[in-house]
Amino acid sequence: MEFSQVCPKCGRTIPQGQIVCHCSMRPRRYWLHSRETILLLCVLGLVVAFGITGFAAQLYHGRRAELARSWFDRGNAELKAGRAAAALSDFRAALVYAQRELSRDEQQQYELNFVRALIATGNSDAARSYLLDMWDRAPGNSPVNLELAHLTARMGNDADAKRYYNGAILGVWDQDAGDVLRRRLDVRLELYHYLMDRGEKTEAQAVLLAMATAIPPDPALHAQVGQLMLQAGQPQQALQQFQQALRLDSRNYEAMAGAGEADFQLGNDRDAVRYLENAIREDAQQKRRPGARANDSGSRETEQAHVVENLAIAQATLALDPSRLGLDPRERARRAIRDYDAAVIRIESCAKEHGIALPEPSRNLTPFTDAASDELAEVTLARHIEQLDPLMEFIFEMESAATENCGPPADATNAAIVRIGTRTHASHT
Amino acid sequence: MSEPQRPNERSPEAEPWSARNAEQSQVKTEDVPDWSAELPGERGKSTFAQRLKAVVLEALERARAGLSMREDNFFLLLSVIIGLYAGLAVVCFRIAIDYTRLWLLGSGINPGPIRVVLVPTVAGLLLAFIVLRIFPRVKGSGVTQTKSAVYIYDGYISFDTVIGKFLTCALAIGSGQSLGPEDPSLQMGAGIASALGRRLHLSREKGRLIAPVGAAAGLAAAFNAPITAVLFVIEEVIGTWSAGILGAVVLAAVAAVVVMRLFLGAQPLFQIPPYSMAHPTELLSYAALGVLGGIMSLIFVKLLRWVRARTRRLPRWTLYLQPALAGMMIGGIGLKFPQIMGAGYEYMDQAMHGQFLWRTLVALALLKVLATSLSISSGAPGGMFAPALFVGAMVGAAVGTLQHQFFPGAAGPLGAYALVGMGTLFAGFLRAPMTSVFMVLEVSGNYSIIVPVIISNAIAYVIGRRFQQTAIFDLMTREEGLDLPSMEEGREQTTLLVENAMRKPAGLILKASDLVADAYSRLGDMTEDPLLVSYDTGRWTLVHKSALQDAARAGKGGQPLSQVLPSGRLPRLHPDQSLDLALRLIRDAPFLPVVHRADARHLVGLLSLDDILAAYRRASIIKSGAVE
Repeated sequence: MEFSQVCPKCGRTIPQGQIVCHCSMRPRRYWLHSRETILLLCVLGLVVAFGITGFAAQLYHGRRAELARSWFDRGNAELKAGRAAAALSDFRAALVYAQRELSRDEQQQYELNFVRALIATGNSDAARSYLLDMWDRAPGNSPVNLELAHLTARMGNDADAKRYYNGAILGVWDQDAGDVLRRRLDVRLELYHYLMDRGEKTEAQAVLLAMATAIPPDPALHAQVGQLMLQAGQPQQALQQFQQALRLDSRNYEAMAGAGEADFQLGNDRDAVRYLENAIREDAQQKRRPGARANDSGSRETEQAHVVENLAIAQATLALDPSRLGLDPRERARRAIRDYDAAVIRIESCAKEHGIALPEPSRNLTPFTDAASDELAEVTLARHIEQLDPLMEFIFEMESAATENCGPPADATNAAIVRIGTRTHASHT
Repeated sequence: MSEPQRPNERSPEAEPWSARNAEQSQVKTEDVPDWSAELPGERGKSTFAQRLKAVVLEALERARAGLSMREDNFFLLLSVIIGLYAGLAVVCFRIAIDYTRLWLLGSGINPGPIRVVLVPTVAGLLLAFIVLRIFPRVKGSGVTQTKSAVYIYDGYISFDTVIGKFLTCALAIGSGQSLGPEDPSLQMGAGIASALGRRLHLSREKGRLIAPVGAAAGLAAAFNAPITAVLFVIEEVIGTWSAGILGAVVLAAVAAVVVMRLFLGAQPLFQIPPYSMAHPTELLSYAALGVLGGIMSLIFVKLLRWVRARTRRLPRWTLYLQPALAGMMIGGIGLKFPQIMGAGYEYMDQAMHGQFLWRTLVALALLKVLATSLSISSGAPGGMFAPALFVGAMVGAAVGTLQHQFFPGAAGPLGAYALVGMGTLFAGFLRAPMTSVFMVLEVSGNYSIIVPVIISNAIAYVIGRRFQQTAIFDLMTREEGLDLPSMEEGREQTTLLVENAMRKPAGLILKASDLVADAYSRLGDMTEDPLLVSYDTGRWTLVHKSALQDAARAGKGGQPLSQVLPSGRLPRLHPDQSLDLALRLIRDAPFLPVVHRADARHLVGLLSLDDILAAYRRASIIKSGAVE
């Protein structure tokens, strides 16, 4: 085969013994070293480097988050076991790893636990300083405000404690809406008890009233608030809460008992009897349910006894009150004489025990007090029904003397008579 | 310690690559052969594989041709790529340090006593071996080494320096040596840039400039603060403000920070509540912090110098043991104060949140100074930034604690004092006042703190400069036998201006509208030659007496000078311009007019070459007199 001596591409003579020219022999690879090619390779290298770094970073973050959680759990265990110093060190480590790895809520929880460990080791000042720093960063954060409230309350700083409690109530809770309402109510309750403990009743009542407007539709909560209002001496507002609870759950025992108590305190004996009877019936039904209230404490039994007692008194009041509307004079007189008899028995028994002087009736009452029989006394009184109130006053006097010297009445009849007498006396003064 | 490099002595690897560049950058696209040509022995036939290969190569060639761009644009694009690579490297570096610490010292913040002493000691032995035998160029913090590379070795930093720095610093910091990761990040970024620059055949000038671009990227990623990094590189590494490189530096820094934030989060390094002044008298406490910070900076510098001087006098074989001994001593201190080990960022955060008593804070500051001096002097590779910030944070927090104790009504948040303290040490110890202000702003994300920062930094800087003229980085380079420019010293040099050298205008000054005959008649016995001619447009030129004479004799006496003068334009100066510029403009002219900026026709002086030289001579006499 013949080969051309001159290369058609570059025009140079092909050396002897070679088939093709140098320019075609092998590709000149200088383009591999060209700037643009290397730039391309750099860009490709970047993609690979990003991938490797991303993988490493993911492992790194995962490890740190894992360490944060494990130190946090360890710290909680140490704190529960009473080793506060070790817990403090663990929480510190957890905070170091938690930074930028966990959500803000989790970090905040870690910080709050760290503060609790500081308090547990007696570093209240450091805890306060740390909490204030957290507060500076987020003044509207409710958990931080609550923790500050607890700490300042413990340190005896009432003004700051109240401020932080209010901050916690009005601040931001990072939870869903239902929990937030519940948490706010819990803090209000805490504040209420705190104020009551310090004798600030007016402020406590204000908190209670504010609480009443912010209760979620939960019968248990309404009943709980109602109980607090009863304790605070606000039976009317308490009754409203119990009624609201019964509207949400007509078989709520606490609401029934509470409403009965509220009506009892308000003197609405008919309603009180109705609520209390319902409460007793409900309690009996709940007891009959298998497995129900297996873990009941004695408080329920005590409460039930109180319900029964109140019911008896309310029923007795209804039966013995001569001033009830719609009664004819004979019936009034009958009730009054029965009240008188019971009061006399009680005062005589008390006089025997303690040697007190028996109260003397006024002259205009002697026809009734010295009558030969109850029937005669009733008839006489019915004819002179205007003497009913003075008689009831005298009965009230006897009962008061008996209560003063021998304690409150032990039976429902006398307890009812005391209530009737108190009401009559109050209406005359 | 390594032998100091003599000035102008280039590393052997530096020369070939810069010499190769000149040849390889001349390759042109049209020189590419036709890839579909037949290979030897296969004339007339081409297989599928060969055709496919030809197609791929052609596609690559088109892509390559498409990427061809102007040198400036290429440099900017390269800066972004360098920023991305540097950012990735720093992310991996931070992860490596953390994992090393976890592996060697465990995950608790109070490692066991045996670990605390043993780990830095054994790691120190290993470090010494690696640094002395395998990676000899990784010694030091990295800042002075990068600056040396820029000014002495044309920006050359070998890639094995990057690898060595990564490994040794991760080991040093992770094992508890009192060093920081920022300076090594700066050097690693510079090294990556240098390597990329070499591969991409940058010109010698660009190759020298690419290292600071990478340095800014590395430091920006380390601090998560681009402005701080840019300012520091300009203040410390480059030493001058140069608009040509500023864009590239900024691009690289931003790219690096984006990468860092992508992988390690965008939160500021320290979180302090928004700062608001409690009372104007609070500023006095920051002034006091500036004084204390300045004093602490001086203590730091003096102790570091003293320890370095002592260690340099030890026999050469002790170089293998010095890091271990330093590690052992640091471990001993760490038994009681583990906070001084490593970079210490988590403890700075604790100080900001008031978790230490003021006595503890002061003790930590002093012990950190001691520990860092030991680490650096022993030859362990690592940085000084983090220790300086640590000391500053402790001093600041101590001042803040006392302020809260004695003047609670005039005390801001404790974190603010710690933050300002950091900036104070940055200004006083590292002598980077501008950088320190921005550093505080960027790491906290809190602009409202700027006034206390400036007050405190300024005082610390003045104190530091008053009692220790040379900054720590410059000191260290001079101890190595290198003479590198310093922006701080450059600030001290006064620039000579035209007004320092010019003389008052005297003699005849002609107007271009004057007639030749009139001008000639006014010459009289004047000895000045040539004469200045001014135009109404503010232009100036010169005319020789002989030229006037010739024009008059040629019958052009009735014409204005503007018609007979040559069209040449004389450069004009202004009084506030530098003499350096005047030197470049004067060329062969006997003198130049110095004119008013508001009215170029208003002559305020004349400046000749003799005037310029006389001014320089006067300035050097004054300076030498001051030195004496």
